[in-house]
Amino acid sequence: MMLDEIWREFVGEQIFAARPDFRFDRKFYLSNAPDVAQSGVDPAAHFEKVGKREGRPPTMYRKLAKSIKTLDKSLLQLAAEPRIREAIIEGQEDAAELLFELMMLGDPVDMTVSHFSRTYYLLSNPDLRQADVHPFLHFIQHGMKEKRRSLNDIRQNRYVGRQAFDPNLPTCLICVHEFSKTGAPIVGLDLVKSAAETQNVVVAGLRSGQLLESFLDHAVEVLVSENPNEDFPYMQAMALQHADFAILNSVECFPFAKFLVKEGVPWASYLHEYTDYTLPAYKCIFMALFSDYLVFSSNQVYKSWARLLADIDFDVERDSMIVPQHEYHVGSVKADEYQSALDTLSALIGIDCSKRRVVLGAGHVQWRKGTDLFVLAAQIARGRSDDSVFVWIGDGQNHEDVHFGVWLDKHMREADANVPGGTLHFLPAGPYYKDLCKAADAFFLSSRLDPLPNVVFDAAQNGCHTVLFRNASGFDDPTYTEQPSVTVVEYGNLEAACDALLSIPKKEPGPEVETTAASTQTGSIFTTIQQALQTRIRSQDHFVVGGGDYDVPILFPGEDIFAAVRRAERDKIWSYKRRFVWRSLRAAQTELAASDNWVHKNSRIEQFAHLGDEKTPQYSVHIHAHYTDGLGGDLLYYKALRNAERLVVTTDSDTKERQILHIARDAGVDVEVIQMGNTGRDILPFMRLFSDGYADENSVWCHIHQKKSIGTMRSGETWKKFLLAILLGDDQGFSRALQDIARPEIGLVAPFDPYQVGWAGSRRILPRFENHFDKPLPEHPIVFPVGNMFWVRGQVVTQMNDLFGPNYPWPNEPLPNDGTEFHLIERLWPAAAVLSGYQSLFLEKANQERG
Amino acid sequence: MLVTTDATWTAPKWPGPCVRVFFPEHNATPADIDAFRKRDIVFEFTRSEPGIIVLQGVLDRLDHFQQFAADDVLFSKAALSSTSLAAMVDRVERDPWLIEGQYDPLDGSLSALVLGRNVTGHPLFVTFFRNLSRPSALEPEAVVDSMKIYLGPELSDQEGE
Repeated sequence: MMLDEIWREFVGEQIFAARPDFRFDRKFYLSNAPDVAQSGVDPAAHFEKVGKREGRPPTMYRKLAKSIKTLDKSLLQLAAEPRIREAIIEGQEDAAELLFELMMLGDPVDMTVSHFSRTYYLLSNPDLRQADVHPFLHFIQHGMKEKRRSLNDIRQNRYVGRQAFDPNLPTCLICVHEFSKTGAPIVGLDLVKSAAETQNVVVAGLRSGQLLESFLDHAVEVLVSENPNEDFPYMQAMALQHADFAILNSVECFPFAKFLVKEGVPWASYLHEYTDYTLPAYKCIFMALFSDYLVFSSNQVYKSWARLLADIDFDVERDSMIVPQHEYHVGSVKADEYQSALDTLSALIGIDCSKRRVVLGAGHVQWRKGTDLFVLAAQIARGRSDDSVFVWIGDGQNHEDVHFGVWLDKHMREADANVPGGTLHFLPAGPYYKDLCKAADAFFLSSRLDPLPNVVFDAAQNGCHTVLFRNASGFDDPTYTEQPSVTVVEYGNLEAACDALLSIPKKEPGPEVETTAASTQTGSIFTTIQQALQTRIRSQDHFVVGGGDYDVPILFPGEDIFAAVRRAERDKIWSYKRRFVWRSLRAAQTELAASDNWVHKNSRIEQFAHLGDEKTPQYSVHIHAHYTDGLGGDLLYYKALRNAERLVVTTDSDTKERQILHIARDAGVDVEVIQMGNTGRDILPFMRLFSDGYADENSVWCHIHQKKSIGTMRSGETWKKFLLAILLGDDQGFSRALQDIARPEIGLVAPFDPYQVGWAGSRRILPRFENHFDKPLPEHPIVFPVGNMFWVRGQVVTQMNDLFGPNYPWPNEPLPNDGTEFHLIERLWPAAAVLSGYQSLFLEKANQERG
Repeated sequence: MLVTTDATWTAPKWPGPCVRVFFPEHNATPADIDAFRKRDIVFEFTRSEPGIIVLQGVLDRLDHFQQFAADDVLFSKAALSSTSLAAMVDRVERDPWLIEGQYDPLDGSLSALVLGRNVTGHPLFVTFFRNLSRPSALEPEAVVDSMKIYLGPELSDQEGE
């Protein structure tokens, strides 16, 4: 009886009216018994009289139970509703069936009674979305065996904090990438402690760790998930629903952005990382695009973000600030503590340190921290005198690590590291750290790139003088370098570093100085960030709503189910006047027309059209085919390829040449195959057609390629179709581009891209080429042939060849994903067109999927 | 707060901030938008939307940006005469529970909506708008009627009992 009441309680009136007994599913029964459906007999009566005897299953549960012997056991694992769970444990008849049939109802019943959600299962398994399977049946039959995640897996990562939720207080979400006892999470914990004084604090991490218990002390709720957007709505996180704003501590918290954009929660990102080593680059781009406010831990860190921020038109003055995670205090060590620390250190490394200068280095052993430079400095210092001892404290030494550890280990052995009585020693992180800080006279920050390591604050508090490289850390800032205890030397100049280190006298013990430990000084940082964010969002006076004309994916994929959140992400970008996707053709045309840059003044955007019966001019096509699959389909499909006067295919091997000739023969098309080395991706082979005499500069060419790389197969294919549809047309007709390139004023015709792509990594090498142009290149390209496929006049290609000269040392494969000469060339085509006396035309085709 | 899709309405006398809503057909230039931002909050909709959807967008954003305060709200598609505006101010000041919709006689679309501060101060006010589906916005009269049920004084009084 109780089971029937539970059924009624969860299914609602409408379903209950149609199906009062969960033990019989009329729809299911009829779908399994077409004979009964045709006869018009009442299915329930048929089941009682005939079906039961014949063994026909009355529900999906009964059908599956016949073939899955462990079905009830699996259901017990999933049962969340306490009464049903208890009934299954007690072996109550039909209890498992009740749970199963309730779970079959889907959202929201399934996630309420069980640890399974149909919606969550599909969201977290894109392959199943594609396969169009029944989520629950898939899970119970296959997914459990395949160890696909259920709500069980995520709900166990929601922890109730030790602070009670107060409905009268605001609620903030503080995100850290992990709960390890390392730099950024410790800063995160300090933020949480401070926030808890005035807020309900929800803490979220991508991964758990040693600090979990500490976070629980100050939070009302702690959530751990590597997929916050997918998991949070199903974690039964009560306090999270009240989040008024969020702080993301570290760029590594990037995965939280999706959830916050979807929920419309404003947030500030506290950034400690340089963009140079934060890869892939999209993490930085998306954090800057979607954060309501950016807080940099130092000016040096901000400077590394500046180029990226310029590309997206980020308003630095309005939307960012610099807040160091600690205040820099210079302190001293009491005489007895100093002596005790020296004694401890002397005993540890087997050399009397009381008369020697102690130089400290610290951090995880790696290239970034410059541990190898520390060793070199110790060697140079030893060559000058033996009055200094160099001690590095930190974990990460691994003589089996071929990337760094093997080579450092060899170096350390040759440098007599860790030899008792020697002057270079390595100690593991841990209990000696405090003694080392007290005993050290100098701190050598040998880092190549390091935001604002806490060890320098600690060293300063213990009266150490710090030596660091220029442009290598956040400490190269007047805030610190104006301190007498900080010396900056040329980047990587170890002689200069040793000069500075060896001129530092042994420190004098001082009186007891009231200094606050660096790690407890962040109380005001939370308030500073919170107030800055609040001021920023409350002053927002411009909002864009509606998603614009180009529905292209950014954070969220391109499937229909994400259409609303894709609109939300574009709206947010535009509300802050940042750029990443164009709002409309008109917006792009307006911006281009408003620019007074010489390249932009010679560029325009028009709408795509198919050609009618107009005659096409003579043209040639170049296809670079590093991959040959797909070539045959293109040759067969695009009328413009078959109509070309010359069709030249470049590739890099005899085998591929034979394949291409075979493919072309099958397609009934004449092609010329030219072999060129695998250098310069698709574009250098095209440019070499002109420099090597294969193409005449007075001819008109279309340059295309296979737009393929490992890992981007599907999106690459959609993108390629987008580009070719605009450039070539289709199987029936030609694109207007064929005629546009013949217009006397036009030298370049390319697809207009819905994304606003900036100089990006090309800014790295742009200064080397800027002097080739009489006038400055634009701050943002606005339009260029994104994807590097276009129609062009030969003179423009010759101009591009001239920019680099005949003997340019082109880099070989493998190449990075951005920032090479070939990525720069892609952006320089409109400039090359102007230098050749032509304009560029970009064609917009709004209804073509961009991918 | 006044929310209007009429860019020509100058200095409407309604208490609180003025939200100007622009649709693509307004052909507002960036300079136009910047000029309005000096005194108003500007919403640019990238496609024309019915009044309920406009209000949904405006309330959702302003709430997230901590700019929505429970106060008398007027949505009006077009500029109102100073006399009728003054009459509305008077009515809503006297009746903080006021929910008054006006509809286009030709197509039934929402042309104006007045909401008293007790209604906009209801804890579920913004949620009510957030939960509205796009199809429901095509029946503004039904939306206003359900607003009276969910956000009006009767239910609130009952809840308080």
